[in-house]
Amino acid sequence: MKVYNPLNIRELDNLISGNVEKFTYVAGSTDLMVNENRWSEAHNLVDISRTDELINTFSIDGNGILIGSAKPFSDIINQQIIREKFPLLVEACRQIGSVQIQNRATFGGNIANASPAGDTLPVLSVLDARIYLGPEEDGKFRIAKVEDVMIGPGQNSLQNNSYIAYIYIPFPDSENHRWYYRKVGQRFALAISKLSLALTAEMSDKKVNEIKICAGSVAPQVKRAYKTEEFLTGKELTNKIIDQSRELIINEIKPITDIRSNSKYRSKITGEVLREALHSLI
Amino acid sequence: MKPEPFEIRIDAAEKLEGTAEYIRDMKVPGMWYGKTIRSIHANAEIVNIQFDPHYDWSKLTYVTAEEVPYNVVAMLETDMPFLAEKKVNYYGEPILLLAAENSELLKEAEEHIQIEYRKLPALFDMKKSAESEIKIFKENNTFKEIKIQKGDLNKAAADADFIIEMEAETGYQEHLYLEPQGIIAIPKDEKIEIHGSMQCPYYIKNALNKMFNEKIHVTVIQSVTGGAFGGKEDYPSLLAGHAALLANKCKHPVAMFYDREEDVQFTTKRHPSYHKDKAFVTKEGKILGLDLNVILDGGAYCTLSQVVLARAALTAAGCYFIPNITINAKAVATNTPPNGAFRGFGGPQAIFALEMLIEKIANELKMNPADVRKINLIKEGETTATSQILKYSVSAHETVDDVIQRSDYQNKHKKYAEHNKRILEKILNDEYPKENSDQKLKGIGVSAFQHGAGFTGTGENVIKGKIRVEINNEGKPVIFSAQTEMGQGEQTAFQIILAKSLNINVDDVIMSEVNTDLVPNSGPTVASRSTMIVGSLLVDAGKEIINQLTDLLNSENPGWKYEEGSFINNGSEISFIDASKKLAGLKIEKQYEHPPIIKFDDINWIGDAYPVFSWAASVAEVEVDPVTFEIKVTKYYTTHDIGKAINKDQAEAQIQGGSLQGIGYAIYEKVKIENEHYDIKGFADYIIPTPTEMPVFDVKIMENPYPYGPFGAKGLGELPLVGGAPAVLSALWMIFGKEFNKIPVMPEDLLVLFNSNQKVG
Repeated sequence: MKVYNPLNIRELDNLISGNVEKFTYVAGSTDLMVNENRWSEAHNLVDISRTDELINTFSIDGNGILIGSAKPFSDIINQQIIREKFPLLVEACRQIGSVQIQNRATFGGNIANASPAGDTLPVLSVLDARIYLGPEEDGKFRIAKVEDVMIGPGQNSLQNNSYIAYIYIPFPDSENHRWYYRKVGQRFALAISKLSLALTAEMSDKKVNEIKICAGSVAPQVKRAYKTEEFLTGKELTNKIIDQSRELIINEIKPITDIRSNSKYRSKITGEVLREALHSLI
Repeated sequence: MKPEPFEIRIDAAEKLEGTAEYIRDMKVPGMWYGKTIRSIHANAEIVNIQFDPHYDWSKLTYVTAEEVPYNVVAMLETDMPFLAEKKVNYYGEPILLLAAENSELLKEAEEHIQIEYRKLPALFDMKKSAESEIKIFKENNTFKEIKIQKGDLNKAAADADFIIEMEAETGYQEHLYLEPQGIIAIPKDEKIEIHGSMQCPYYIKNALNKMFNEKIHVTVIQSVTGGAFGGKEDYPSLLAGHAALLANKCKHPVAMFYDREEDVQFTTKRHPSYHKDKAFVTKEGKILGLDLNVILDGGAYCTLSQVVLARAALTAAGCYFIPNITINAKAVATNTPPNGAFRGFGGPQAIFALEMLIEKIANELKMNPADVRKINLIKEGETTATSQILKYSVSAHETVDDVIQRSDYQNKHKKYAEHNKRILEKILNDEYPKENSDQKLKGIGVSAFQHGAGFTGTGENVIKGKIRVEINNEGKPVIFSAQTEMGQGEQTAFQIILAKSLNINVDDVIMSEVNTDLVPNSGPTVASRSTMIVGSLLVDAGKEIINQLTDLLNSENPGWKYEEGSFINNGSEISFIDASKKLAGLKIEKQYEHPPIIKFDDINWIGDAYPVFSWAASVAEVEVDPVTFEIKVTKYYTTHDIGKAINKDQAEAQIQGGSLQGIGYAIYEKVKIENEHYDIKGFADYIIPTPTEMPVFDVKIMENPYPYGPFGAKGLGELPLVGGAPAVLSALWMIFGKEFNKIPVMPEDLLVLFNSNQKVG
């Protein structure tokens, strides 16, 4: 096995340009290192945990924040600005694995690993995060949504050694911004979720102006519940509307039975958790 | 709580500093690695084994079943081979062994072995085992059957106002000790040396002596052992046999190290159980009779199932006085990996089923569950199911009363029921159940439990455990025993016991290495017996040392007396250490036998099943999220009568750890057979409680002494686990008012309960 340590994006791009071999990118390695079968198949390992821009970028402009893909979660959620602007993100990251895992694991890894149970995916999805994919073409990164990159269990859309460089998260643009997050696992720490739900909304009193909902671990792909969102948009959140939305989201997901839970529980409880989320808004 | 220096464990420093040498830390020059080739079917005939003739086998050693001198792992029965010869009985059963210098070579060689099977239908249902056409063990797949009877059930039936029936089931439990199984076998001239992670060095020695037909001297040395919980009682005999066979053939030291996946997939688990019980009860809640039927799933081979069954049967009546009782218990075979010893050893299954029956009685009679227990608890002078008269150290009432009072059970029971009413109504009406986001369903549950300390029945008189204490040149006593430290604090307890007996500093007591060439066979480290049984020999040895020293001093100059750590005579004083130097080289041996008043008939199952029982009661407070049905134990009160706490901090830690393992058994830990094998691979999918799931513990130790134990001590190690699951499930009964009769219980099961509820409502 060969291991490369590019120290900046230029070195990284030089390494992959014109190279036909397949590279495996690692930052925290929290998924790869514990899976011997997977790393024994990785012949060219590119360790981006020392790639300057990918690990150090944390820049704020008027509209949002740009974060290096290899920056560990702990580094991110301990930033004052993140705590102020993205309590949802902080809540979700704090429930990933354990503190030790949070000290190494990264957004880039969580997205590229493409697990339907990836804890940050629903959150990034409802925060409308944009994924910057390298290498640059004509001086520009390709920009994609989470659901364009994570396309199925263990499958991402990254072709030809392309890599995740940055994650850009826009600031919520209203004083009436509300959020909800819940992860349901068999235990509270060190758990892979049975289901999770992230939600953001702009409200005027009980009326929904805009809402984004995304459930994790209940479908092959982590995808927003667009039909449920559409149904709720513009409506007053009455008990009846809330109860109806449960049925809608259940129709938008495709949960399976596996060692962690069964499809009945995942289906029914995703509806119940959405109901809890909507009640928390009013 | 600050531990007194007296109570700090002797193994604490090396474990905290990371200098303790576990088996994987051992450096052995020229060592090879072993690998097990396993069956891929649960029931099949082995038709042919083909070693690729074009492959270069010279760099490897392999061992086939035909090469094993005596192909039986010596345990209770002679059914289990080291390697399957013509037939496999479970998925993963060892067929061949390989050894080579490195694991790459092993992996490569494995590809060049073809095993041809004739697959047969397999048996997985313990309830169908005895009548099954598929034969795994003798004619009826039954490893053992036990019948216990006292009084007359017909009389109980005639006098009873109610007959309450219940079926119950418990699942597998995996030990998940921190350190997976590991053994190194080192061939040396005419002998073979076994090092490894283990509980019972003499079990291994015995098994290997027989395997080699007594032709090779076998020395067994325990390495620092990272947890066991019973999982390293029986299994290491098989693993050590594998390592020894390879080492003996290739003449290299051979390591058999299981990784986590191999360990959880193929080593023993707790026996699953099925119960069908009937209670004959008066309208006041008094139990007049019990008809109890227990089946344990032993897996493909017997291992220790017969004694696990004995404990399950002997524990089946719990902490209660039952005038008329019949217990039918059997352990049967299935085509699954053999189940083996696990902390509690049949007790957790038996107590769970009985305590759930008590809950059902309370539910049907509309009585408080604690009150039903209290009416029926056993007292000194009353008899157990085997007609054993309890003569001393009985604390069933005392522990239950204490924990009920300390936890404020009765008030909370009422208060929580009131609190839950509205939430449950809303769930039933499909309304959003929460008034605020933190709102939970609250439950409180109780369990009463006991554990007979030491071996079952006549076991201790069969094994006749032996220890030796020697005085070294510095005048310090050295303890030679086969008891093993596996994290439970046995070494420290032994030091404390001998130090207290001699009235000297704990640091002046030395522990010998656990090496079968050095230590006598004091019996296995199991059955909560080390402190109580073997510890009592240390007290005897201590007394004899003092007597011999006093005699020696008096023979030179009469008038010496031993007081508070010194010999005193007319103003002169000699410390113990100075005096005992005169006895340097002294060897004192002590051998155990039950006090003569303890008698048991193990044919008719009548008499003193255990020399004494440890008693306990627990109260668990449980919260259930009304949206997701997630279950959390928030507070756990428990009162344990253990006779005497030899090391108070360690005893409390044992109680907390054991209770948590019992909670895990109830609501977290789940293993199923899927596609003929276990569906778990390790920490990611076998969910045990972490510190986040740990409730706030409120532990009280009660000391009702056992007259024959060291300073009154009784067994403790297994007891706390036994009461965890029933206390948690009792709380679920309280919340939902529905029958709970199966563990583990998962949120998915609570959801089903509600769906059926809705139909009824």
